[in-house]
Amino acid sequence: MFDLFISEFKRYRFIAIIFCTLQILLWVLIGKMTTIVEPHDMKNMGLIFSSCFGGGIFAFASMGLHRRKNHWTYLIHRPLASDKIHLALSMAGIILLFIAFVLPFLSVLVFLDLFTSNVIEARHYWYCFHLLAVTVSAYFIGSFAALSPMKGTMLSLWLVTYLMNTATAPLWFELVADFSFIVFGFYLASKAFKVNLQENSRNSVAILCSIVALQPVLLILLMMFQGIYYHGPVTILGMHPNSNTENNNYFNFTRKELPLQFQQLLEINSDTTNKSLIRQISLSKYHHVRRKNFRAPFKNQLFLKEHRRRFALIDENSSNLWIFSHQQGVFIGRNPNTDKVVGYLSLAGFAQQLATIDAADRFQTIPAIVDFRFVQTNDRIYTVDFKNKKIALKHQLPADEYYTKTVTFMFERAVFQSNKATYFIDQIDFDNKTKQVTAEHIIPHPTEIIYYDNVAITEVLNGFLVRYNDYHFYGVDQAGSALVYAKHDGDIKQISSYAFTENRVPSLLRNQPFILSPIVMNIVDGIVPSAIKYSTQTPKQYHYFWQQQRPFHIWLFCLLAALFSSIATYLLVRKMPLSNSNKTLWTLANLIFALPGLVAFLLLTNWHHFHLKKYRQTKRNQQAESTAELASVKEHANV
Amino acid sequence: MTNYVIETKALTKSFGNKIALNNFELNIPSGGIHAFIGANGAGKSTLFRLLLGLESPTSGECKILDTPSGQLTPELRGRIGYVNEEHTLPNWMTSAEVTTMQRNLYPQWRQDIYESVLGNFDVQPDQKVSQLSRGERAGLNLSMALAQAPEVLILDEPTLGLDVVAKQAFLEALMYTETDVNTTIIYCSHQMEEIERVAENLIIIEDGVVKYIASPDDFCQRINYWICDIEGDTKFLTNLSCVLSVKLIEGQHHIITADQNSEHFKEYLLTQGVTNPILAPISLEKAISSVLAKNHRSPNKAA
Repeated sequence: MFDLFISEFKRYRFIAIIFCTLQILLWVLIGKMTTIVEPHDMKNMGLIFSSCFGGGIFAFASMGLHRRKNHWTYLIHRPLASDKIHLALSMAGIILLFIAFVLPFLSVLVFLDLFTSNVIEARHYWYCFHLLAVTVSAYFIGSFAALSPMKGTMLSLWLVTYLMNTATAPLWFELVADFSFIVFGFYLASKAFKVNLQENSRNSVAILCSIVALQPVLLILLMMFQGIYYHGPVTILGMHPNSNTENNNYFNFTRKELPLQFQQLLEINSDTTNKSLIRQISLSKYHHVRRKNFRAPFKNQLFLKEHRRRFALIDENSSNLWIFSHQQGVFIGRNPNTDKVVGYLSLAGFAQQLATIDAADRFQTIPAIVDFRFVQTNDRIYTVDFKNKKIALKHQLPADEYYTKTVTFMFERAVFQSNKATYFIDQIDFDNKTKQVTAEHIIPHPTEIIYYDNVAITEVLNGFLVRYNDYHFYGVDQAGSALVYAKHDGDIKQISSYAFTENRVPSLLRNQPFILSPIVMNIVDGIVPSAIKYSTQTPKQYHYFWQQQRPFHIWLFCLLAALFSSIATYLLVRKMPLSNSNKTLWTLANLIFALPGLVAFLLLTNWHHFHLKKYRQTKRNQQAESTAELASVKEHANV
Repeated sequence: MTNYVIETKALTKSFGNKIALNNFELNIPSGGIHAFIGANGAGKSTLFRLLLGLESPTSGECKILDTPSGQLTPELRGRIGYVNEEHTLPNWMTSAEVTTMQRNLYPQWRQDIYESVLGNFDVQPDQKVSQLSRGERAGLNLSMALAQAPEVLILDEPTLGLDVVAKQAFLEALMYTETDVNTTIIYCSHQMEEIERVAENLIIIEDGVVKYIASPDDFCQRINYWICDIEGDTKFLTNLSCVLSVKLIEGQHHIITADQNSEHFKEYLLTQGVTNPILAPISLEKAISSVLAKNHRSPNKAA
């Protein structure tokens, strides 16, 4: 096995070394222009994309070369079990991918760590592991697709898009996800790596894993069929809901200009106040609370996934960069020109020596840097005064609240949101004073929603109008909007709300993702967004199916789709030359995997077998005829 | 009970609408050199791939070393050697590295056989496989295949590209291995002089079925070669299934028949007005080529 490993490694080592060298040169070039460890979407995407595509392409190239008939015979026909052969190739592949896609960046980090004062910590090295996991997973999934007898498995390559996810997540989640993908991919690839490549897998776990691998992309493809049976025809007939602006649905509402949205909400109650407000809003300015949700960084989270604007505090006078050390719980100041450490920043203020900072003065959680100047944790906002060498707590939330948005400045106010309210603070106070500030307005959310996607604010004569809307305002798939009037004198009241009863498209289309895969994708959606997008509470639409409240007819359609898939699978599988256990497995599995499972069955099944019985019978008849004919001629010839 | 190293029962393999093997029945006993002969596309390579378990039969079954081909264990694979016509080897490795890898895999490695066969080729240990000529590559591959001392050795057109001396050396090594190691050798080749020299058993395959199984001598006895004079039409001959070919050469008709009693056929010729029928000796090559040419695909037949 070791010989085979060496053989495979030698085959591609020069290519890997060339890739490695070129990337190191590229990093040297980048290092001349910018700070290498400064997070940037382009850096992150560049590394992840190259690793992901590199792994996938290498899998197709290497396995494609191996699976040529004579080469496959040479590889597989030896006194070595096929799983050991696969292991030898995989180990060589992992090392080659490491050299080509991970080693260059790792070398750069090690160099910066050893020879500069850059803050290089475990989170930087964990990123290299993540890169390795991405490229190795892509390699295994690519191997699975390249070795499988059915071309439909190519669709499982969609899985690698999950690896390209750029959202931050706790380190444990990243590691679990990375290991899961490696193990899952390796299992799929090893089951596809069999002596007879034309043979479909009969292993129950391998079949289930193959269906799981195809589930996300098949769900998307099935949803895209809407275009064929609904959107296309109604567009041709000129009846597409997008062109019907009269319909009072949420989609049409959000397409309107902001003044018209405010006006529509104000017109629900035609009292004198509202009439006065309608007159005012036509000339008002409008701003949005930040759309992007906030959650504080996680300890040791992968550093390149951080947003560039959260990279460091910048002392504008000296251009010193203050980068937070996850290990030390303090900011470390560095002069990028001299590469000297200029000091440390903790909750107690600035210090020249790290050892002089008490443990109690260090940050207990990982703060985010907002706009290079504020330091925000889940429940506190600090401001740093580099000139006077001070750090001050600007705002602190009550115990049961956490920030959901970062600060936005509008109407001379600092505006941000928590899970319970929208806060308005005087901007001059927020900017200039070093002491803690209190909110001018605290506007409780009109519904239980924690993360509003779209909150717009306008200023009127006596206060602010805050418009909330959300597709799931009153519950899953129950769109709504509300308008709150916060007067300067402190009076806050909801002056209008509206529940949209009309919808752009029929309910079955709106709920299609859920109906098509009520169990599998619902659980995936329940796990992934809750871990990577939201703090502690997940929005209702991402709740697990057993927690969701949906109309009865949706549940009925879920059941019908699952039953249809299972029965159709049973009817088809009856005529296939499969074992009874495989037939039962497919039939029962498609009760859970529903319609994507049925499509997976069609894609993963060798349909040649389906026609085989009839074909064999025809050939037997032809052969019998030809034998009879031959016998008759022979008889005649034997004179 | 005969001990067969290869057994097939109603073995059928089809690719789409094309049948490569059709109810293929074959039993090969242990020992000896068995030559597989057939036109291109007759199903020889498909049979080997089925025997090695690399493909599944459409129907029927095949066994090698008394084990269904789909269930060959690594240990059994170590007892079966296989050499394909491309002499597939890792191009990026040196001949010494490839040899070391093979030697480590096969415990019964016979260094003496390896050296005796490879000695006929100018293969340097530090030479990369990609730098070897086709003949040298074949020499390296064959020497390793023979050195593995397998119980069954399947050779699919192994001598393509070898020069006369190298071919001679290889064939000698092959016969030595067959007797010394008691290897059953399955030898597929289009080189009739090689087959004539080494084969103890001929297996002629046509359109996915076994047409003949016989020793070279027995096979030649089943094929008759007539030279005669025929006035007029030869249609009365071409309609007979026993007639493999009828050719007019220098004013005389040359007829080749198969499995036909010579006395009866001579009588038949005479009753049809044929004069001076003479039964001539036939070479193995001519006999085989006549058999294969009978149903060989041609533009007229295809049409």
